[in-house]
Amino acid sequence: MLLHDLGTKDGVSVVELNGHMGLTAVQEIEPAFKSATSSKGNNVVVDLRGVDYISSFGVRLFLDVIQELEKKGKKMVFVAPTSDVQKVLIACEMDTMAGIEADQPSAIARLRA
Amino acid sequence: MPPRTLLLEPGTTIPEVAVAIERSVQFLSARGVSKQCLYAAELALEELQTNVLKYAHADGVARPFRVEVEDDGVECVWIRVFDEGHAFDPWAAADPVKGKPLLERMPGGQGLMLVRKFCRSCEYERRDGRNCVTVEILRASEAK
Repeated sequence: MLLHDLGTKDGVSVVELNGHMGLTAVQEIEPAFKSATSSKGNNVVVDLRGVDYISSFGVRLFLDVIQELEKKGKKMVFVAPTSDVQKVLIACEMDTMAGIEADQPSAIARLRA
Repeated sequence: MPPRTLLLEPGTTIPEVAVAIERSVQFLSARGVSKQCLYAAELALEELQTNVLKYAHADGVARPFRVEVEDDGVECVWIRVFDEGHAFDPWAAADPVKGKPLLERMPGGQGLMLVRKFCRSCEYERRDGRNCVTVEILRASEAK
């Protein structure tokens, strides 16, 4: 599992995740993911194009960060999850807590609107 | 093609469970099941085994458990997890309540809800003093 902190674009923190978001991978990336997202105090885009698997452990990490952002009046938007990953996100109502967009520019525009 | 059934006795730590998941996925992949079936199988293996670690070992006693992965080569894959913990039917619990305000949402229960969503059937029985949890997955595609 790889995490790329792409820094800030138009005031929005952008993070790209790649690989398999299972049990052990989530434990490994949790500190870096939180540092790149909820710790910064910006709205957040999480690019999921390269994520081929997510379980409830990944969903839990996202929920944790989305709730932290909410307390700061900030939001998260996901970019282009694969169909199985999107099915998991929707089943867990993540689409109602964070947006889902087709690409990074659309996600950033949504958060700046 | 490898034999139709893989038997595993994972240890009781997360890294050992992760190895068992990896071996099971490799086994099913070698038997040529669909990508969707592999996804559902991995999800079920991860959620069911960590569930055993959480509940069957809640009293602090690490009891061994067993995993069977069976592929009929035609229609279905079955995953069975046997443990010697206290009687516990994971399917008896209700799914998490939908539509709660964001800050009131708790992460618990989502794993089993996802297994229900990705698998064709989910069963539980108490047999010979052991819990037996079985899920059935279509080889070709997901059920729901």
